[in-house]
Amino acid sequence: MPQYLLKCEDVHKSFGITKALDGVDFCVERGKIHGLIGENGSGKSTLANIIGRIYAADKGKFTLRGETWTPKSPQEAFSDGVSIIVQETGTILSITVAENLFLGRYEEFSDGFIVNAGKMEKAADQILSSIGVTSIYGSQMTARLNMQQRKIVEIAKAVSNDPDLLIADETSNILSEEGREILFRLFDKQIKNNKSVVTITHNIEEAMELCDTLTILRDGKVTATLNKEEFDENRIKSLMIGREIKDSFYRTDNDEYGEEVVLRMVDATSLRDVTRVSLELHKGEILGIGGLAESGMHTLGKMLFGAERLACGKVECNGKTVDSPETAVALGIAYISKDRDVESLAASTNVSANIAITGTDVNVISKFIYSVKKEKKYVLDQIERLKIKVNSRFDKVSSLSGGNKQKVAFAKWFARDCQIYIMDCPTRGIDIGVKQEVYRMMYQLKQQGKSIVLIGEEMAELIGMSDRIIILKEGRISREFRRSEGVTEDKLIHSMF
Amino acid sequence: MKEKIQRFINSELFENLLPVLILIMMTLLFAILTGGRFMSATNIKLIINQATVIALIATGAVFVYSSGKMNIAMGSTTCVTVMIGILIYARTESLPMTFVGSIIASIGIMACVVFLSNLLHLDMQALTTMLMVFMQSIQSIVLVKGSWAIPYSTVIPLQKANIPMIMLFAYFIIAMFLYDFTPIGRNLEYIGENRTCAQLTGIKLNKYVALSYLFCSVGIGLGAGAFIIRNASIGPSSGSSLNMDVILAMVLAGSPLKGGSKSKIYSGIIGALISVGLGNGLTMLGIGSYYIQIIKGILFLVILISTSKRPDSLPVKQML
Ligand SMILES: Nc1ncnc2c1ncn2[C@@H]1O[C@H](COP(=O)(O)OP(=O)(O)OP(=O)(O)O)[C@@H](O)[C@H]1O
Ligand SMILES: [Mg+2]
Repeated sequence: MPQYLLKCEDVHKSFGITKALDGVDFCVERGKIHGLIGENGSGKSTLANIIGRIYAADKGKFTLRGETWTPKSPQEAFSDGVSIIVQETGTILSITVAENLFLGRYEEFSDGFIVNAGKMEKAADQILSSIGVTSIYGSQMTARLNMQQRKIVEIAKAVSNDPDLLIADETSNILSEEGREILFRLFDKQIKNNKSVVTITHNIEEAMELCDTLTILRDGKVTATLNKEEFDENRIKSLMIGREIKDSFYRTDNDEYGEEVVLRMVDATSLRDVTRVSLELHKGEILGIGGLAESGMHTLGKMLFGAERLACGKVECNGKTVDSPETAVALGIAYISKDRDVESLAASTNVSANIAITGTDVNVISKFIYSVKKEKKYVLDQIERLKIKVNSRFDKVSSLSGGNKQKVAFAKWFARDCQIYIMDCPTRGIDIGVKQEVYRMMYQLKQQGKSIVLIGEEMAELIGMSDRIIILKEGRISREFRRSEGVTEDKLIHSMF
Repeated sequence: MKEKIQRFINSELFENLLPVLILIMMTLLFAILTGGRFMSATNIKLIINQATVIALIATGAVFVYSSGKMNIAMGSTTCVTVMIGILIYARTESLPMTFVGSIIASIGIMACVVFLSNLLHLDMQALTTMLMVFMQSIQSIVLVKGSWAIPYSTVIPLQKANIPMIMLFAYFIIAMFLYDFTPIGRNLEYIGENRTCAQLTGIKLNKYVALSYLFCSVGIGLGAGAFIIRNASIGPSSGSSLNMDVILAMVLAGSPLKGGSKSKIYSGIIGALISVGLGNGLTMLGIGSYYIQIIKGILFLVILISTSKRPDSLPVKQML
């Protein structure tokens, strides 16, 4: 007889006319890691957020530790031992790390009326070091941290209460190797203490390896719940997507690329973490860039786009210096940031405005007059091509699921005719069906003679797609691999440390 | 049924119609309370005349506010522009020269500020705060000995011909064209939604911000012209409530002060009508002008608080 920590029965949730969850049953056993997978927009985050009481369910019965459970707020769920690491940004940038960690619990540190910040920061340091993080301090301003570090603060916050149930919504895909190790160590600790974990991911290999049970959602309904011995990659995929998915995921060719250099970085040093990097991107080339989170690879992407101040060195395209995003875009360079909520999208406005913004100079009748008709086609073409799940193109971006937001970030640049695409973790959070489509589009771009810089944390993706891979280590180039050489993940990881 | 109403209330259409509904309701309410006097032809004309100056300035201001920037010096710049206009009249005795001169003067003032902002790498918003103080001191120091005026008889024919209304109409058409039918409005709104993202999309931030302030100054120049036609004079404290009136007009008509896609070009006109109508109606009901200012101030706060509604999910913060 399995011992259930949490039982959710017949959960329903609608947002306006969207039925996000339609009669979902979901039970979490003690001492187990329970995976939740499904396509973009299938309702995974909605379910997780309902368990964490960020949303209220329209209908549903919840039982925690054998008793009926009806928390009224996220704080209440948290103190009942249910912690959630949300998919979206879960930290406030304008306050310190400690304030974020103890958000809503300041009174625990107050001496009479005022909050003792020192005491709180010390407690924060303790929590951080207890999960093995020594590079982040409680007194730091959150805005100073990068995305991965902010996520680690959220992880620390989630486990600070020693929860019975830890829910991680697509947490691992923001983290790089070291971050993932921290997260998975925490998962192990939960299991050892006969507590539970719910993890949401699009990485099926990771899910199969990590989880004891998998629940697959599709259009707001559970299509199957499988135990470890029933796991089968192809079966899981077809349960997710509702059709067979062929094995060839990445490109299989060994096509060459052109001689012509389209983007050149000469001896460039940033004010942050990149030191004296020189590289060349050729016409029709997919150049992979890999490394650890702190290796400077994300900064490098921004430098190539003119969005990062250079201490010395330069970036050139077509003989012109790329010194600002304005010039970069004018030269036909596109940049898809890893931090989509802050840098890629204006979340509070609609999908149409976000996609159309890259086309305000082309969607015109004669030089000046804006054409709403052209704009509509510009936007709808992309929504269709990338299968963005919306009710109308005027849906707010903030109401989309994580993966669909990522698709909008893509759509915005694919709609415009660019020569060079700089993509920082482009497939983060998108499901395998769309991933395959994105890889196919990347290959198509290559064949059209466009060039791509692919910055990635997934080794398999870098190996699968790149013509050449550059590995950064502590802000410098540590090694370069060619597609033809027969690169392996081990070799790449080896050159990172 | 209830659900349908709920959905309608949450819809964009309703949000856009709301200012018009408020205007109609307010008019009806005052008409009843004043026993019809509010609706008399002379009073309506008075309201429209007063609202025209504000509407001219506020329509230009939509360009600035939609990108999330502010210009709190609009009222005081208008007053100084009026002074320049009167000086020009004293020299040339030509009304057309006066109006053209006013527009050039206000554009000139703003161009200086934009230039300073680029030169010193200072934010426009901060500079307009200084501009406001500067303009107000000019007005009160220069006019301390007495008001400046042009002969009232010269403006009467212009009042009769409804020139301010015609100016507003023409300016509104041009502004609407630029805002809705060229890429300008869309770019400004996107900047207002998320600056960091707008920059990483390659939008020329400096160019658009400068442009928006220049459009705003055209509205100020025209507003000054309409002011001269209406009053033919300016004293040390004339137009002191203009700063507040313009901003109130914009929020009353639903333009968010933090900018973005909810900004609408017509909100200047509707807001001006509501704001002036409110003051006028309250005066008719016998409420002192001092209290009216307080009421307007409170209204402003209430709107600010109610429009900065908390999002229903975790904060997606914007970095500035
Ligand atoms: N706050 C909201 N307002 C309106 N619709 C929403 C909201 N949150 C989610 N939805 C809708 O509910 C559906 C399910 O979204 P959910 O975020 O649960 O998907 P998901 O499975 O987590 O997808 P992803 O893998 O892309 O993160 C989507 O169609 C989404 O558009
Ligand atoms: Mg999700």
